Amino acid sequence: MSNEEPQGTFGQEDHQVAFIFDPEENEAPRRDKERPSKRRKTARRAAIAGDDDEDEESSASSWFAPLLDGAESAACVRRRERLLEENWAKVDARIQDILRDSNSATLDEVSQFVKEANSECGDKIPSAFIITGPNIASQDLLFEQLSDSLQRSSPSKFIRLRSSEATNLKNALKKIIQDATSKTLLVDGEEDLQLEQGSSRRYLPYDLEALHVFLEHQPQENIFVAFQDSEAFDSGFLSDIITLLSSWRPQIPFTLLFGIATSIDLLESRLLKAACRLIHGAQFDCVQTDTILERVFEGAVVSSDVPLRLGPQILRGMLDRQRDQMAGIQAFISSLKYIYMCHFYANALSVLLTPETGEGEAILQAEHIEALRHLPSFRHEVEAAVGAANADSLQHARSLLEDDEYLLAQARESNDRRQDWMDSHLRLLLVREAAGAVQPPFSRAYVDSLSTAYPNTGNGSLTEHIRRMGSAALISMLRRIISIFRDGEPSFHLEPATKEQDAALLSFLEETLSRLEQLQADAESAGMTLHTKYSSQSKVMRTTVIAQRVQLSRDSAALRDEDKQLTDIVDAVSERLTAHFGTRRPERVLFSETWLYDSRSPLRDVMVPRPRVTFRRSLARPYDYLSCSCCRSSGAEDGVVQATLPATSILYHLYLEAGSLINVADLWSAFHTLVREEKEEDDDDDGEKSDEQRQQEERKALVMFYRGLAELKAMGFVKSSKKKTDHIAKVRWL
Amino acid sequence: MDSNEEEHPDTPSLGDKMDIDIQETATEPEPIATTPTPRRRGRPPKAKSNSNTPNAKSNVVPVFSTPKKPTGFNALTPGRAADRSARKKSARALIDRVVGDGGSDDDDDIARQIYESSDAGDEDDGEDELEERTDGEAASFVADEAATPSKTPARRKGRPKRARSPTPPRNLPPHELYFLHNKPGRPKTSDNTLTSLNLLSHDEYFSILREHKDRHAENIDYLESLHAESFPQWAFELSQGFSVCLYGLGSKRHLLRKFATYIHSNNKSTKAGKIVMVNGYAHTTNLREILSVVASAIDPTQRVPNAQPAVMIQSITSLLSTTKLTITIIVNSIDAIPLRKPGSQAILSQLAAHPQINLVGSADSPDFPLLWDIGVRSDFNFVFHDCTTFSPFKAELDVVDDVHELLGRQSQRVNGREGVAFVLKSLTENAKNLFRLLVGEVLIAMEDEGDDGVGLEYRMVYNKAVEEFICSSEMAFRTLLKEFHDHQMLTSRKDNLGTELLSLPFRKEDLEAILEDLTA
Repeated sequence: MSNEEPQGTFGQEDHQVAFIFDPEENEAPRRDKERPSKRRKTARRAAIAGDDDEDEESSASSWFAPLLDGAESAACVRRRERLLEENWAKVDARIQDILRDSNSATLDEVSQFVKEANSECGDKIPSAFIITGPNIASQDLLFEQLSDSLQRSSPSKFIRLRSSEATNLKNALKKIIQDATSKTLLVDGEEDLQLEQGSSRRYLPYDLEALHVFLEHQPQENIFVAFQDSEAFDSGFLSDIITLLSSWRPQIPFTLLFGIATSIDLLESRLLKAACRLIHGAQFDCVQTDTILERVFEGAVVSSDVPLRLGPQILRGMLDRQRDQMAGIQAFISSLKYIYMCHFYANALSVLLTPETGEGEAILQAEHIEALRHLPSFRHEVEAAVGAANADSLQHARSLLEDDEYLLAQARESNDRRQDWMDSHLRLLLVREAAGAVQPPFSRAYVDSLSTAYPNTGNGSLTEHIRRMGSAALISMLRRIISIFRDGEPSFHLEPATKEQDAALLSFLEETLSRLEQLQADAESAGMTLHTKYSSQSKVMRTTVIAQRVQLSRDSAALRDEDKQLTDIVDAVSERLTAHFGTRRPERVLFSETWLYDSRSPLRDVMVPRPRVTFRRSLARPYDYLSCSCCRSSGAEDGVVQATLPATSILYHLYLEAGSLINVADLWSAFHTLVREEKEEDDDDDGEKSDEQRQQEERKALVMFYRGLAELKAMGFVKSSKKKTDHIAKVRWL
Repeated sequence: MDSNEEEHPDTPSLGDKMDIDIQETATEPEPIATTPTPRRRGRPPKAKSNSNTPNAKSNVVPVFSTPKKPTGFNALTPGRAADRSARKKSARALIDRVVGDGGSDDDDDIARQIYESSDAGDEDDGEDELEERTDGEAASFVADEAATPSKTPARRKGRPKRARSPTPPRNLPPHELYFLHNKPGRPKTSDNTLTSLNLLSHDEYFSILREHKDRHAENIDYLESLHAESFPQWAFELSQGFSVCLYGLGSKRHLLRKFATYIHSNNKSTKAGKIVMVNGYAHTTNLREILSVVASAIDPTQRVPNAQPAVMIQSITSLLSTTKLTITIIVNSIDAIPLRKPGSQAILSQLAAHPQINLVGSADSPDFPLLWDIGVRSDFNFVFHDCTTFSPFKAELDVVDDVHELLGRQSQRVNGREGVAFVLKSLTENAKNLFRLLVGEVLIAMEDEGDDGVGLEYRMVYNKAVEEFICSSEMAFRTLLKEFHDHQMLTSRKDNLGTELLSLPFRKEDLEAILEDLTA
């Protein structure tokens, strides 16, 4: 309490609904206390800006704080900020493209329908029902695109109605007429609408006659009225407006669009039969969120040219959230953006994540080098090098530890190393996909591949899958793999492989493919099918009945020479492929910390708050937050209520013990006894107190009691009850 | 502070009080089917076969009279009751057969098992005479069984367990606690009332509060300074198009004010930002006012006409597009009751979605995420921060009124009978008569239906009023009622069928007093 202004003096602003905040107008003395700390912050910011005068403008609007204990130079801070802007802009543009593309099919269909409907519908009103799925957050984008594309294809007007805007028929009509005539009228109650300066007639703002007259001057092919969230509209209103618009259809070419999250049947059952009969409709299914998510994931996370890589933990968390909470694609995108922000805001080494290193070294400081040497991946690299214990590796380790120049050179290469790792990882994934070893969806497979290494042999290994293939499948797989290495994969922006090893593998694969094709052709001309020793057909189960006994015997059918050749090919391919892809965890790559982000904690807390847990903790154990010595004691953990706790917290503890109905009189006496005893103990030396003092103490306790109770009520823990006098009802079982 | 350790054993808590109450009443209503498991433990192994019938006490008829108003869940769910009677029937059929024509040994055994089991339960219940009577035909069996010495001590042993601990087991999960607390039966609270206590008045509350020193003031200050260290981060998040939501226990008003000052000091250098503070908790908060302040922050010279919020938003966006200004809207208590109206949050989210508008909000209740559906939430694009401050809600809550309202005492309305008398004095004779009629009818209804939730049908009151020549048209009737509404002397609501119900927000005693005044 004492941290506040003198009691009882409420500022005028405290009960004002809204006001423009300007502390200079009424600089009260009480804010002096917090001044120094603020000065310091701004002072430091000013100092940063002072370093580099010509850039003061951008520095002033920047919120990036210098890291490395404040030793980071302004140039580095700016570099981080710029990197964030550049990288996110790139990813964001890609995501927007994907979103735009994903709706294009729906857009085309709708335009097509609109074109044909005008001739087909007769006296009915053409209506497009667009099933968007439960993700109403992405409806906005869809309707924006619809509006663009429909207005482009023909001279028409597009009016979007949202349930929050169109609460009744009058409002909706007003909005339709306003948007269609693009007149911002003085919306002051019953203001009339005057269409032209010269015209003598004035119309009510919700009179469709006005629109009709307007259209006589500016003919339009279609007037689209879109009900974005049709479920949220009142059903009576929908029926009314459909009937009304349809009755105007001969004069005004209305076309309706409905965004539907559930199903058409539901909408139909809500409408009046009479309204339904007026509709000439068609249904359009949007691409579902899952598919869009998958594509966004591929473009923004998996894609090879995205420099900031995300680790398995955080990706799994994000995907789980999509699945469990139906958070919508927008939530995924903002999570992604938040991750980018976290990385560049809080990681000083993120300055190394930059393709051009021209001026890069100049801005690096001794602190950066120090920080680089503290990275886990650095430690791992050095340990591995020492472990290898040959002359080169030992020299490598020594240089890393001692030679700053060498370290910087290595750091500079970290980008290449990332690209190498990324490309080879993606290729591995694609090869496995070609071999049928990847379970869809791809996003999950990608995440799993980051966290767990694939086994080299046995179940789930590449070998196992290749062995199971027939010759035809093998051929198509080889073709696919060759194309991955030679041409790359456009959907992941994967470049063709250029390294020596890759070239060697490629030539081997091509050669094998030609051999295999030859073999296959030979076999076909000879009219036989090829087997390997692994395919199940080669093993024959024999059942013989001898003297009323069944004998099972298994023997391998003899492999022909061609079969043996095929087996050899299968073995060679699987061996070569397995050997080619060494498994490397991303966090083991040297200096991966500069381009890998894999920390769940800030994102989860920030995006998916758990307020109930927080509230329960702060009420049950306030000392966790206050870190005061008085309340935390040995008894506190066993549910003994300390009298020193804040009043609300004491009441919460008592509340937990009470049943569904709480007697306030008892609650008060419990509270009072608790507080009184504590008080008496405090002023033991005072000796006996007079009745008057006691009385005062009681009133004080009552004030605290009132406050605690009011807070519990405000937080929705209790409500008044009429079952008994002076009782309140418990409404929360946390 | 350690010394008060020894105090703890006898620190009274509400639980203790309730326990005593429970113990007093525990004999009749409580024990239903929850106890058999511990009791069975005390039985000799011979009785093991009893467990064939899962519920030993299945045919105990609960003695307590069904409460008048069954609240929550009835322990006797119909399914189980049916089950019980069916089992009783089959048991009786078996016994009939055994007694009637001897039957085979097998049947005998089964019957005995069943009978034993049900009997054991009955015996334990002692006072359950009813069962004895229904199964009286086979009483001879029972006598035999009960006489065996092995059984008696077992029952004696089992008995103390019956008086089970009235304190509920600790660490129950919340849903279990819910059912434990909402068992049928009378609420087991004492009949103490606050009549002896002189309730606080506003003056007294504030005068005591002024002298009060919080022992945690320093810690609270420190906590706030910790939160204040995140200001640059929050500002950064705002600048990236996110909205910031601060939640947690305690008032965040002061913290947000500091944050506003922080943003303001940074805005000064660029001169491209304005801050609008909104107090969501203020009783008069409405969207129009918020929006018009936002509009005036953008351009003080232009006056955006008061209209539908949706329309105002459009004009705000068009105003914003002409400037480069960034508006930061800071909403204290975004989950306060005035802002919980449908549509309010949607409008706020539309504001927040505008790239030139940043929104910071604080949420004070634990359920605030329920305010937003997926569309609103993605418009807001919130990042959440735990900002537990423990600061008291000084401006947000009207503590005295809130508590009195919680207790069902008069609060904001005209002050009880004096207030009503005062208002009525200035009204016409007809209005006085109408109010007297209302009070009388409500009191009659209270007599009939009990005290809570009495509502008079609008139509009925109107007819009576016409009969008594208080008014001649519905129009006049409405006008009279409106006067009462304005002074919060009357509330009206609709029931499930859509019938309008009128009720008076006073307690029965007050109503009686008012009626006396009116008729005097």
